[in-house]
Amino acid sequence: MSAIDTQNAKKLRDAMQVYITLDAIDDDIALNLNSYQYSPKIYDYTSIQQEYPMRLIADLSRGGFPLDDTHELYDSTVAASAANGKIGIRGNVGNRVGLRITSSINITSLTVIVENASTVTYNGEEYDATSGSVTIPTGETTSAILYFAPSSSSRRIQIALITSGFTLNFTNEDLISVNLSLRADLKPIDPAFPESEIEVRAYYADDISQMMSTVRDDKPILYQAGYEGDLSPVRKFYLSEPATWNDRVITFKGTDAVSKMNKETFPFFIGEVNTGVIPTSNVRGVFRRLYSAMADQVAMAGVELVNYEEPPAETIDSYETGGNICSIVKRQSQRDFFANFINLLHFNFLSGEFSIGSFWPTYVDAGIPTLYWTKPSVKWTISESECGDISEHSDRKYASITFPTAAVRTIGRSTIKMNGGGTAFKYSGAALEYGDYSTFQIWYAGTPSIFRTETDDFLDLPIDPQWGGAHPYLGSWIYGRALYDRGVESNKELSNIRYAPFFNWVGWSDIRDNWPSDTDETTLSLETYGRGFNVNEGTTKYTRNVIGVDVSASKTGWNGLMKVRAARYYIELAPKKALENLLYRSNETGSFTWKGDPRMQPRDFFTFNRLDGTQEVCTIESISLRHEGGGTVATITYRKGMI
Amino acid sequence: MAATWRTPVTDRTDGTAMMTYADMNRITENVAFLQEAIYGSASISKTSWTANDIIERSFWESMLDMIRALANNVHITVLTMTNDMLWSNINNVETLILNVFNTLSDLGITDFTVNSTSIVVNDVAELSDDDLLSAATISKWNDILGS
Repeated sequence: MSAIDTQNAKKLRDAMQVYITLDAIDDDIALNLNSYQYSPKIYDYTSIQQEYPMRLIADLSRGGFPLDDTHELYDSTVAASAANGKIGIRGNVGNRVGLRITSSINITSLTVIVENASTVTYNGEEYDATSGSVTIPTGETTSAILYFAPSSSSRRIQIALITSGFTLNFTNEDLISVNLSLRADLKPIDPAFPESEIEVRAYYADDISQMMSTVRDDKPILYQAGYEGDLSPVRKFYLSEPATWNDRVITFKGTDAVSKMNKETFPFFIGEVNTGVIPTSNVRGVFRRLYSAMADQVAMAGVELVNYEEPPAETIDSYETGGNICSIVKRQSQRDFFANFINLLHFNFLSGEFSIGSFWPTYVDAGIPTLYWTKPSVKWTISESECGDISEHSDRKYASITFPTAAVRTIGRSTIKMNGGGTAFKYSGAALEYGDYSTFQIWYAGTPSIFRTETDDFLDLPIDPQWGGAHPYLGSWIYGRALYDRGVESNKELSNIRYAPFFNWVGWSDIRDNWPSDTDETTLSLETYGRGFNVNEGTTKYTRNVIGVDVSASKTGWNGLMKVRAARYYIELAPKKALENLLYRSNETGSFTWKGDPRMQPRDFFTFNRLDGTQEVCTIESISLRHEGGGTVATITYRKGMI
Repeated sequence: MAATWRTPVTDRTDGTAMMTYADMNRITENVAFLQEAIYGSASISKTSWTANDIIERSFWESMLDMIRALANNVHITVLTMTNDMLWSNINNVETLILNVFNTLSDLGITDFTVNSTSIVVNDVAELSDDDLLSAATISKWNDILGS
């Protein structure tokens, strides 16, 4: 049992250790270095701001080096890198090192990582360097001269890092309080993708108000808590407001990397299904591409995933030559993208359905950016007897999800124009709409040369399919000429499992005569209709009516290429599952106070042992964790069920 | 100034062995000694090391080339020597230096030089009438004279 678990099992826990680092290093400010009065023995000034490890070299100082292959001959031509390490700045044994540091823009402080130095002197002021890390408040300047004094006559000063800015570290001895608000949003309708926050208050004796006033937003705040040998994963937040120092108390706040998700997604394909067979592996492939798109969006936001679950392997079954179906995600905010996809696409597939077990794509940050594919297991157990008063709520119980008429729900047009290959066409419509989210589905077969988009929503859609060529976004072959088929719009109950293309089809035979030639700039517009969810309040009955387009009877074959079968599998985004997911989501929520655990994350599942002996599996929606005065307490909100 | 021969260290057994400036003094001075013995003068650039020194790759590689040349000149097997700062590799370096030295001793040559066309034996240890040259020694002589 881990130390945290052991402590959690006690009625009175020991004080939890909390560690906070404010990393206000400005590693994007370039520093120029030159020796000054006391030259080093060897140096590489160009990499002095890089956080590479110091290279172990064949240094004969202090009794030499072990012949165990850990040290290498010094070669000034080997470039610094994470793998090669760096030379840094290494003085002559027992001698001082003097450096002039200049910058094209003002710096206000310097942080130095140095070994074997007793002090660093700047502007006549000595700073203790024995800990290995020194922060020197320089005041606003573009030039600074530092003198490093060796800690012993037999040692060689080794300067590993010089950067603009500083880091501050706090432990229980300094901390007054640390508040974390770790959030998800488990509402079934219009969920948000909320930020998580941290607020730190700590004692700091020196007046660093001037230095703090220069700290830029977005600087990392690192949080870790637990007990010796068993600390929680490091949570990383980003300074969101100016840090303040007042009366020996420093206060700073940060948000998690969700705050960086302020871009729009580019429109992109998430799936391609060969309509001939739609083999299971292709469906898996669709999910894989969606999952990959989620990872891409995280990367686009500049967020580095701490935990990433590799998706299941994609195996290729047989493909038939023929049309393909693609879903396109339109341009939208990154937060909407995650909120909607995560809300819709948590599927626990039954045996035989796509052979992928669960598809539970989830991005959780709360300081630990994590993307996982598989439905997680229940991680925690909380007993009601250990909680404070439990506040329980029931939000509206929706009994049905209905689709209004197509005309009402037509969503923004997309236009995809295909030139070359003898045809050009425009297409617009939505395949699946949920709130502001939609996907589009296109059928096409033939020999296109260029696809082009012409509306803002789909501007820059990255497609340029070539006949028979592999495409980086689609991963497989694309075929050209457009082919549409018309189904019959009708209501279908979920149990019939005939839900899928939520748009109208237009028969090729209806349009082929008017199909423009390759020299004709006229384009043909085909409108299709997206469907939104309306949720009716109620408690007793699920009507679960949806409007879908039955394509099971759609035409087979055109030009010998197109075959449409098995419409029930035409569920790239599994709208049936999505609807079920929403319909069956519990409307019961609650909150309680508990002792708190720094390892818990929003969206974690826990078993709730109730006083009446029953057990409920619930999903954590938010955690408010507070460390203060050696104590730790949490307020947890949850929604029943696994979401 | 004539270099001084120092007995090489060839018995390191593991990575706890250290490389010190004293080791580098011994190795480089021995190379200088053998170069003086064979070529008449030493070409190794550095034979005096202190704790302030750092061994550079270019120097090391140059030194290994010199040792290989010495071994070739006396027609003995050149042991594998690399840039690895590993005890066994340093053992090989010093073993090869020792082998060159021993070969010279076996031949009884205390002073000779090699130029582009011939070996000039400047001095040979005095042999008594009872001394027998081993087959190996005769072979080496033949190799040298034949070259």
